[in-house]
Amino acid sequence: MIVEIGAFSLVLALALSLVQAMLSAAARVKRSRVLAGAGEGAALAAFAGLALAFAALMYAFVTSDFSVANVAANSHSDKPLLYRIAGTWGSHEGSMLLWCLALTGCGAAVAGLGRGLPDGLKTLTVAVQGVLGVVFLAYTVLASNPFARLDAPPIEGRSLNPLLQDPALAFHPPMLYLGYVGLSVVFSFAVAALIEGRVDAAWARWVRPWTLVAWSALTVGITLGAFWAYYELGWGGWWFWDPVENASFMPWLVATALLHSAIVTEKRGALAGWSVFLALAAFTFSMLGAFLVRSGVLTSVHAFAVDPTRGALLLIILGVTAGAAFALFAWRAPALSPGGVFAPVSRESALVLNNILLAAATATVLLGTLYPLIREAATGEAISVGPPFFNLTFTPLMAALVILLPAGPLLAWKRGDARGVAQRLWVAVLIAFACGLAAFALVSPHKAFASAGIAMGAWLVVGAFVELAERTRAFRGPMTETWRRLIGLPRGAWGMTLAHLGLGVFVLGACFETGWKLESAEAIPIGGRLDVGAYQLVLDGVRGVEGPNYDAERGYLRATKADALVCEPRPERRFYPTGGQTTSEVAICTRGVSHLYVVLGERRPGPDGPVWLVRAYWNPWALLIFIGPAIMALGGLVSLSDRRLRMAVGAKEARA
Amino acid sequence: MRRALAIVAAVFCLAAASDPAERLADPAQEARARAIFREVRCLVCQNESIDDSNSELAADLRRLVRDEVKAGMSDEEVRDHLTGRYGEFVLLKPAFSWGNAALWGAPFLVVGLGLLLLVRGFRTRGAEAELSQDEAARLARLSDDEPA
Amino acid sequence: MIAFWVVAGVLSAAAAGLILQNAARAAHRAGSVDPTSAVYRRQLREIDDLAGRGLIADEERKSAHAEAARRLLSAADAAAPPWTAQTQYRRPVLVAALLAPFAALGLYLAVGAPGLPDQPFRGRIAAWRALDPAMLTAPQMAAVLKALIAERGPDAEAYGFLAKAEIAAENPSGAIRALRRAIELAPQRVDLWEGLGEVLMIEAGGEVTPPAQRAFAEALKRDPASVISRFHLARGRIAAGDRDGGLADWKALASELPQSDPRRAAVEAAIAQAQGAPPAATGDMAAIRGMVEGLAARLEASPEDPQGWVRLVRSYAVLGMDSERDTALAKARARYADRPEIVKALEIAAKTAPMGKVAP
Repeated sequence: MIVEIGAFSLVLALALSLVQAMLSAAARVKRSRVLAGAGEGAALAAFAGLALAFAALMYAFVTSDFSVANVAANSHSDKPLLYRIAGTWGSHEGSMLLWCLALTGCGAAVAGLGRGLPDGLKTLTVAVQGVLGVVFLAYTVLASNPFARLDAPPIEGRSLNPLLQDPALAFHPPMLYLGYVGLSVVFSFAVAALIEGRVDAAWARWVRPWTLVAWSALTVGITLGAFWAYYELGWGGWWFWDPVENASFMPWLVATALLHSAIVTEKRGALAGWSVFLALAAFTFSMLGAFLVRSGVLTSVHAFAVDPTRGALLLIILGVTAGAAFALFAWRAPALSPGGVFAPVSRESALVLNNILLAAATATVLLGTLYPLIREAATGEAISVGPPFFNLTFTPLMAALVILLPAGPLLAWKRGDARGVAQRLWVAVLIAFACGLAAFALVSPHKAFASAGIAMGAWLVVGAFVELAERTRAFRGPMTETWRRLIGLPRGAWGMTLAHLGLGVFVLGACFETGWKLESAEAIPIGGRLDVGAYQLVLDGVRGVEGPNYDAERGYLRATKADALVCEPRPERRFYPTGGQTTSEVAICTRGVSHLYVVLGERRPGPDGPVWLVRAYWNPWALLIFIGPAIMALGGLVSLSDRRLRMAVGAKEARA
Repeated sequence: MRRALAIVAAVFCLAAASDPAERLADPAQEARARAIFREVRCLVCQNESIDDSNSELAADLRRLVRDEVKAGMSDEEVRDHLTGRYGEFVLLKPAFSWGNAALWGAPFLVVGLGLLLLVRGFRTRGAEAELSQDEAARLARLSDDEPA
Repeated sequence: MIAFWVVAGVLSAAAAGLILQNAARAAHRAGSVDPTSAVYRRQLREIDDLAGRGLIADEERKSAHAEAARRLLSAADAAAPPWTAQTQYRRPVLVAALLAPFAALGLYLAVGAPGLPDQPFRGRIAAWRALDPAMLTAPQMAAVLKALIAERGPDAEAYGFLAKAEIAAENPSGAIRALRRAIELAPQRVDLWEGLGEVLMIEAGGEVTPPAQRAFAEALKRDPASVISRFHLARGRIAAGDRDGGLADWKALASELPQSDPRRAAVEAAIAQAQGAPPAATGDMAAIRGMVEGLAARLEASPEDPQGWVRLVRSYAVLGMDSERDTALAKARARYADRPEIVKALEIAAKTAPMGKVAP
């Protein structure tokens, strides 16, 4: 019965979304609070219905109810509980349900939390969310129903792809979807403001907290995905410029640009049109990211839930939704006011430069992802666009951004003092150069580009501290004064500093790891030795072990450095009989912020008994690659907790 | 889903190029070969270089490249040979050609366009005055109304 | 069924109630002023606050203040009149709140399966256990046995049965896991080691792989006379290229077996095959047929061997010899009619798919 209750709740949520859209739109036309309140009630009810539906599907997965087609296709009774739960969103149908849950959740959040918003803006936002809900729920119910039942349930399910049976990946899709769909609120706000004809500083303030939530979730989601690729795919890479990665990266780039342009709009009333454009683009890229891959139009190593027919339907939905929104933009944008003026050297200019570079980066990623399709459609010639292209185009853009970044927060609004900023930053310049030179001179082999990257990372990190020192007048007054200022700093300022610091940490890790990673592979017998960097690995033995739903060979290794035992890696090579797949379970020894990364490969016959292909990597500073974005996301959350932003969402302002 | 499974199944064990059984004796040549691998697409895989893929075709291509490197051909010659045989599709780095002008030019175009708009913005906008007396008076009245 | 409609009704009512309650609350809420000017007022206060803490210069404060003030002024000019809270729209709200559940009901009847109960895995297993075991298919039997083992704790015998059910269900890897567990519990049982070797062979498409060799070696360690193990190990030697060594082993095996033992004939048949033709799949097949014939003859002579009967039935099934399978099944059934677990095992064995399907 529970499954059918879920199916009914899903359909009920669709009907409620329709009611939400219609009542809210009518409320705006008639300027009626009663209708607006009813629309908000419908938004809350739709979310409740979807939450119930999602819980019902999860129940079906947990109890292995194979009479549900989706469970039969994606689960197995042998699977551990965590992955039975994660199976709920591991398929096309389930992930669409998660998408809809997040979407109605956002609608309900606006309805429930947006009491400080003007009636017109809020009601229209709820209406647009309702329309989005209707579109995606209709798709889910009619073309991708997760509750479809089987008359003759199979004895066992077909199991979830073993690569997806991983803790990081179990939580990667929910975070990513929260980010993707969180941007739908920003989109709805933009559409609502365009209809109202009021895109101003206040709008920018209202839209900022929603952008921050979505951006933080996206940051965490993308990082989890990269981390998963790093330790599950088993070759130590973490970013491949793969279409799926690009698809999640583009909304992040746009959301980052929006966070910065919205500041200009909020403080100076300028760039209003551009901010609205970014708000529309962010969710458009989210939809593009979520659906392009599923449509099977692009190929990817991470592709999941591919279904060309339904994918095409999703692309049509994307085209109509985004097309309508941008048409509205083209009609309304010319009427927006240009806002305040600013000098070429100013905070505004810096933020605009940031946006130009981020926009160019987004365009690069978009074109790099789609160009093969375009070129093939136009000329019939197939070409590939891979990592070398992005290294040559995206990296210089980011380098320019990184070089400019520490100066931005030090510049005054309207008219900045270039010389003053230079005076404050010379310490950072010096330290950055010293770090770069040290990296070049001390780390062998000598690598110029990687050393330059280290200099840039140091530049960002030191720049963040200089900015903090500047705000608190550190080293220029009494300590107590500095402390008082430090305490008094708004959370928003802390958030920005943390985010910039996190980027610096990431750059340090990424450059060091990419520049000086070491690889070593040998086919060794029991007792054999493999050297990687300063470490020696000895294969003590290989034993068969049995997991809950897999059989594995586990390698017992010892890693030593200068004859001192460092750690005992236990890499595994797992075989999942239900799907007939083999995966490798990497062993990672963390040494400070660096990783010794060991992979057990296949067994081969050797001259004296079997040998195993063992691969080992020394990934220096690899941990920073994942800590950096975590600091950035933390910055986003700290910003969000700023009193001033909470005001924008909460009720106090309305009563003021 | 089945296709997705097949795709991922093809991926499970990568970094195939580091296999000692395939390696060239000369480390310098091996390093060159590995650098080339990273720019060559495994034609039957999902967007992987032949450095990563363990498919049979990738292994064949690796053998081909290694043989050519060993025979003393330059990187350029190896790449030309590959494109001659499999077309431009085989290279992960698109050529700098007119056909790809839009691809390579786009980042610069966007940056240029953005800078142009920014500079134009500086020129056209007028200066801003302080509040006029009239405005100040209205502001004072509004502030009096403030319910807080 | 009734419970479902009751719950669906409650849900619909709750949704409608939420809509009506929010509408009613909105009607009672006092008309608020446009919050836009409040934002700008706050901006003005923030600027003063920052200036007061010395975080921005006085000049900057002045110009920022002027700008924010202008925004406040224009917001005050554009302030929209508050919305009405009149109750004239109560009726459309009520209609919408009532229509939504009915629309949902209509769509649900089209896409849902009203009244179809949940079928959690545990519940289905319980239902299968209540059935006559002879009615169960092999995969069902395997699921039931797994549940039994989970319930009663590990037991070598149960794992042995599970292995047989898994083989019948065309799931050799499941059988291997079950046999490994059984062996952990009863490492001295030769038949388990032999069975493991055979299943490993089936999984490898008939090839005597190193793991299968190890299993047979373990069996031999415990029972040096293990005919099955010696036979397959020798076969493995031949397949690996050591034809003479393998043949010598087979010959030794044949000579050790008494003349009356039907297995001797089978081994000799295999030797003849191997000498006649180079070892190939057909040779293996013939050897297996020989073994099966030997087994049948032995059972004819000394029929009190339930496991032997099960193996015979399964062998016939694997070889696709349906009429022989049915005859053997009927004989064994008659013999063990009073022992249901053996009948069950026989049924499972009889349902084993022919070789071509197991190892394509």
